[in-house]
Amino acid sequence: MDKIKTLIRMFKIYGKMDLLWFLRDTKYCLMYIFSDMISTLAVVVGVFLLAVKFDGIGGMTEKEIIFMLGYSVLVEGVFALFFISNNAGQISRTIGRGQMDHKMIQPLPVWIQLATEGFSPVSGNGVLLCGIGLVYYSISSSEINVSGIWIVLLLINLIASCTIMISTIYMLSCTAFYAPAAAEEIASVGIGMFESLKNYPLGGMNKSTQIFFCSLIPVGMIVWFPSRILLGKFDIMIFMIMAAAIFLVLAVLIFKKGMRYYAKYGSPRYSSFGHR
Amino acid sequence: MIFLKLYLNPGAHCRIPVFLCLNFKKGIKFMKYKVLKSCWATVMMSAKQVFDGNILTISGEYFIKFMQFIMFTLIWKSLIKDGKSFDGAELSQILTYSLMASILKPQLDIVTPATSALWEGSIIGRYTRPISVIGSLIAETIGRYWIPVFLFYGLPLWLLSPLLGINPFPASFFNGVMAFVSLLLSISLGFALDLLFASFAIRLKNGCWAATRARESIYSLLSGALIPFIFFPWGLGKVFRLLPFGSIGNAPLTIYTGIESEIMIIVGVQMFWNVVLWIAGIKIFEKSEERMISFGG
Amino acid sequence: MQNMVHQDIPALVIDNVSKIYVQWQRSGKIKDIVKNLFSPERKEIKALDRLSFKVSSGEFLAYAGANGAGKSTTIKILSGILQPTSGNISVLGMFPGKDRIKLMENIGVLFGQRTELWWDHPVITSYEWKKSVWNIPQNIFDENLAMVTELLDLSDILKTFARELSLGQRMRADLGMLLLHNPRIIFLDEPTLGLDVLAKKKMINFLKKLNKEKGITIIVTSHDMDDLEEMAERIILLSKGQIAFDGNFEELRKVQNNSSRLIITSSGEAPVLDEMELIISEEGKHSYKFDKEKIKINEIFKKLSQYPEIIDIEIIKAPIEDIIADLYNSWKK
Repeated sequence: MDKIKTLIRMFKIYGKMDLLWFLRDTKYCLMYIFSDMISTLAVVVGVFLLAVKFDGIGGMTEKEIIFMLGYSVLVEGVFALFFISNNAGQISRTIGRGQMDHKMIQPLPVWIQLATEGFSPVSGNGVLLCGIGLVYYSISSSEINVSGIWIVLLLINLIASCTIMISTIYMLSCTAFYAPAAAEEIASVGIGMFESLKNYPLGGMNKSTQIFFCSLIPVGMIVWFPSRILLGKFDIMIFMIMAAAIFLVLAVLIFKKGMRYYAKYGSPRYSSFGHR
Repeated sequence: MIFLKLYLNPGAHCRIPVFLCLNFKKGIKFMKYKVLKSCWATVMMSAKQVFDGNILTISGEYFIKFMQFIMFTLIWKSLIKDGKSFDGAELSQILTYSLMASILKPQLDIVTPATSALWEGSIIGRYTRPISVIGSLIAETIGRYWIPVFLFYGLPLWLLSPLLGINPFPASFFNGVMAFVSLLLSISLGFALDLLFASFAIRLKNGCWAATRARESIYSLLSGALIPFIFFPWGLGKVFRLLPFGSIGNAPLTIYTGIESEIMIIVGVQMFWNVVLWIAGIKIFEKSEERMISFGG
Repeated sequence: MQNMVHQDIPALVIDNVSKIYVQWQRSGKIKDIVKNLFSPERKEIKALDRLSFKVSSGEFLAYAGANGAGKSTTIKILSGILQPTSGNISVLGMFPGKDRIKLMENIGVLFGQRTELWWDHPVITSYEWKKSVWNIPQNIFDENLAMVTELLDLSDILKTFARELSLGQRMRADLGMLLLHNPRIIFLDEPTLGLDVLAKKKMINFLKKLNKEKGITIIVTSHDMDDLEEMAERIILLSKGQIAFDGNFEELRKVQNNSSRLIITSSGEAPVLDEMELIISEEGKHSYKFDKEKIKINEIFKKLSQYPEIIDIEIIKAPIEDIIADLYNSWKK
């Protein structure tokens, strides 16, 4: 109960600070919002153009592709909402620059800090709104039967997709504990991989390839797989939940190992760049 | 005796007035050697700093790049059946296109330390070196991004590509030569664009990172490095290939693979953009210099 | 802020603590690059070597040493950021490795050349963030905010963005932020670094007042020995991870037989004083070092009376910087 109260308290303060930034530095905040929207849409547009040219790809029609892309933008939006600020989603920068010290001197568990300090309900909502708009458009022009249960399914899949994505990024970022300089930007590489690959449907590939891209390199689990569930093409929802749980547990274990290494050896470098 | 003077001081990094003298040949040789030596030292320092970790930590980035490449080859294979062509391009050409796009990404998507150096204020350090600022940034780019990626990713991938069923060779000898020329023009254009971007970014102050992010995404779409222009509907590809971004990515790749037949037109467009953007880039960089040095950091 | 009295429980106890780091070595040669990728060369560095000391509640401790002596490592271990390779530590009766969160509610840490302020927010917003994270009750926050605003002269900068503060202003703001949650111990790593003379003086006076009136235990590291002497009663000197000296500044002077300086201004040559060592002689000013325990002042004046060209005489304590420099040199040998 205490932890939940602490979480809510932290979300409140970071939300407030994000709002204050928007009110004080409105010009820059708007720049960030728009650039995020442009970046996300630019990636999505490429796949859309391919779908138009080929009349659908990976066993999905053009309309289904639009829904899938809308879902993709929605996932990006949720990621931006919770992890875009303070390098929360690019944790390798924090680790690689020796900035974990700043977290260690706060009277909060590290996981609460990591889960809350990226919260940006104002500056991070641009992409989310785009995603909501795109999903709404695709639903209204398709045959998806939107009900209360479907919306719950959508939310569960969203949470699962984001969990898998952030867990993978954290697992990659843990290399920064062992090689701070070399792995400082590895989170950006991981995010780039998801941004460029998650929008492509795996339908046209063989089973082993699909399994590979839904497990070891889980780009398929972020958008393609949950889209199929929401489009009614795949019934077994439990796979998403199980996958999210497995990735989360792995990420926690690997991160804890990294933190033990950090506590033993510290960080040989420090740079305040990007800190607060 | 009047000696050869090569102005490489911070204020004249873009201008190289040369005073010929009796020791002309020796002077030129000496100065070129000095400049090259300085640049090479910067290149090597930037390259070495990448290797501070062990093989696992360094290879993570290359593994992810490789996975991205594999994913794209699988996507093209699922879209274009073997033996069939699409808009005049065969599957083998598209796969070679993807291969070279992946190998040459650092050269086709040039991001120098200019923007981050301006933001951090470390740009000032470049002005205290006896080497042109732009030369310094170019040397750092080559050292930090080109050499390690070429040695540990590009070259091995190119050599192993036949095992993946991909032809790594150009469509013909002439295509190969022209693709090399086009690549040089792309690289030049890439540096010009980055210089322009950095000069504008400094005016955005806190917003420069937002602009960087948008730039990278727009580049991915408009350069043709990710998705060849022949796959764009509504004639969009024909429009994009005439734009600066398209001249960077799409140009050398389509020439190399033989997808593009109007090679001279493509190269001509690249030369045009090089002239326009270098002139604009240098002018705007000079105008923004003081702002860069005083604001940065 | 609560008034604290000296208590019997020590504020911190370090018992036989050692800390070993592993440093990667690079020759810089190209031929070694590939070898280093698979089998990197490593070197073990012993940052702390069986370190043991206690600090009582309300003490003001100067923790000094040459570069690489182990000062920052000690602070990080005390704050729970690093774990010792061996040995035991307790801070306020808590174990930093296990009780980090509870410990952070009771101590404050400020690392040198780092800030805890939010760059793109005014100082007051950073303070409000601290209030949330440390869960400081509103009344205590208001009381402490008023106190630090007054004592550190923050009223002009509370609404200023942290990115626009000068170094001195930023240090004051950071110190103010450190104190908002009533810490019982504060660790300061190079707090006076880069400050001008006036700012330094203000900071030192503030810290002394904090220690004297509020009873807060303060451990400060610095290279500026004059500052440390002004602030602290006790000094621990570290050398290669071990304690080289633990006592007060007077005892430190005696250790080097170097407790005083005699400075003579004369129009002639430097007087010959057998029991003293002439350190420097330039432009009519001659400095000698001597141990005032061994040489009486009246004897000095007796000898000097033979030199009519003497214009002025000054007897001062040996600058602590000189003593420390001599010590560092002797350790190197």
